[in-house]
Amino acid sequence: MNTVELENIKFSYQNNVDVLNIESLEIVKGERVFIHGPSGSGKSTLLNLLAGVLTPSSGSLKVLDKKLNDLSVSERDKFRGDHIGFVFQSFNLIPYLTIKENISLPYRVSKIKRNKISDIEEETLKIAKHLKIDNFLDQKVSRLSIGQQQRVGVARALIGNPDIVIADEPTSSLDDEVTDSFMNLLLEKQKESGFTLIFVSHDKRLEKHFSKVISLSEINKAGGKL
Amino acid sequence: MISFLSLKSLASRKFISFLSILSIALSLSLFLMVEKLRKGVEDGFTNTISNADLIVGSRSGPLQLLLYTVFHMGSPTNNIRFSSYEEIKKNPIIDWTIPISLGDSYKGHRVVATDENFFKHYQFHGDRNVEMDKGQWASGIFDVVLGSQVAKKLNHKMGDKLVLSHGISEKAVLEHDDSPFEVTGILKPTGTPLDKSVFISLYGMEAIHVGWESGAPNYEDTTDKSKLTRDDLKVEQLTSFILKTKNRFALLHLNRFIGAFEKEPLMGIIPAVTLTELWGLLDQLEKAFLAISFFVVLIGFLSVLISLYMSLNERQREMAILRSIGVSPLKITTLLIVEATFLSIIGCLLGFALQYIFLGIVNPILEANYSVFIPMTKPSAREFVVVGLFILLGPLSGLIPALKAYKTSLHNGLLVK
Repeated sequence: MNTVELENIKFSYQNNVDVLNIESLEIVKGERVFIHGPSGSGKSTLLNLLAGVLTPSSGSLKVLDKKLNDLSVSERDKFRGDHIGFVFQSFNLIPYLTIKENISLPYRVSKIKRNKISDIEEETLKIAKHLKIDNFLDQKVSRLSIGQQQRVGVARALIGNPDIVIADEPTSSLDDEVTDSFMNLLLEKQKESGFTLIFVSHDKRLEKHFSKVISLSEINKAGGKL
Repeated sequence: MISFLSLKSLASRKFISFLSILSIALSLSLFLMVEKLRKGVEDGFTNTISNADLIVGSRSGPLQLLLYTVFHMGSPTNNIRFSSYEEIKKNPIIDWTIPISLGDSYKGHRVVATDENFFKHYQFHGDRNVEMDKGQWASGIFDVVLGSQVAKKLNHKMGDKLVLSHGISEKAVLEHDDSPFEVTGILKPTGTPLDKSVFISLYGMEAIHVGWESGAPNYEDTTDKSKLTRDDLKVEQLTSFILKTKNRFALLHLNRFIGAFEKEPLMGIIPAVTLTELWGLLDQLEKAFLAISFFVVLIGFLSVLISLYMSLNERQREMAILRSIGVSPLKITTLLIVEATFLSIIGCLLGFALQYIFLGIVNPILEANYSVFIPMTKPSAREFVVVGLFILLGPLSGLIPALKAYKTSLHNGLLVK
């Protein structure tokens, strides 16, 4: 079963110049996909499409067998909240919430994620322990190093067992040593939970961890001119 | 979820939130106080004299008659004969009368000559009577009773001797220095023009003018005025008089009788009606008052708008995160509106409470210095409506930043520009 199916996707912003033009892209359930490409190749646009924030100008976009083209903005928001976990490049956290509140935020938003969790306190602690951030749960975001903050971001993306985890250059602000331990923790969780991992990075050294590697500049015929 | 985030977000910006709340609270309390002050001034004004049915004087303008009889301002064109007063007074439907005779002054304060009825029957601010702070009402010929502010300002005590001046200008040329008066009483503050006047008996007024029949002192006259008794004096003239009927239905009839009085041209006015008319002339001032305080409140809410708007830039990240976990742009908009609403509710409630604290501080000062009293009554229904409307300004002021947040979060999605 395919988690993601893209067919003849075209996307342009208001100026009608195509940013993205992909004939076909398929991602199988439980796969670890590494997408790389230089900046301006349309990585962010592709992720926004997969997450249902943007809709393609033409073509068919299916995620988890749902045709996102047909959904309204609020339906897509709900879909994203229910099925996707998202890790940002940096500053993954809401500064006025504690670490614990940041991690459990999806629990408050998505009913489906809420139903999968019987005890949110316990679940938060479990994930935090895995990611070695359980000592900071009641602290403010500003007390954490960037590496720790990124792990909290992963914890938030993972809570409630999403079907897909999308990570947008999550290691670009980390040094090599921290990157290694971050990758290990993330991949360990992926093995354990079996979610589909879509990982975007320009750092090709990381591609060894993945089962499928996609070069966006190769499949994007639009050339990715922004 | 939304209110959880709003509260947390406001709490994280404690200082700015506090300032916004404070600015709403201060501006609202100012508005409510101005409103109360306006009401207090109006009530005080239109109740400068109460429970009196008619003021009767020589025929002139109603406002003029009111001004000199009640406010002790301006000058009467003509006096009326004492005999006319006595004739009208005989009318059985009249309950009581207060005669008023004006024309002299003391250091710029009007001298009001009257009789005991003034002390007994004169009422203001509803049913408040004239009360003595010290001493008693002027009964002797050379007794004088001082209004509270006169006593305070000129630092007079009981037993002080005063010389009244002829005429009503502050720089009086002619002094009644042959007949000094003794302070026998001081009135309690009333918050009316009475506080700025001095009171003597009608006989006192006659006595100081013995030998002044020509309008100026007659230095040939060597009468020792201190030996005068009431029998030596005959009251000939009055300026006006105040009356109350036993039956209000007879008022119209009585007024017609006074208007048609044959022996001299007289006129009667209903004080409450003329007072309201006079207040109407001050209406513009009242409106300016309200407009200014309304704008002060708007500025208070503008501060909410500004602080939320300014925070939007640093909150773009937050909006992207919220969208990534499935919060819709509409909910993000609501988040900001809810924040503004929280600020406005807390601010308005605080302002409502502050008003009473301020009133507690300001009231004694106002009453002592300006004869204005703002009653600390229970909040009126109108006040609740006003506060309710101002609370609504909260979400409205959150609307502009919220719409911007909506646009940003819809277009940027998971990107942060």
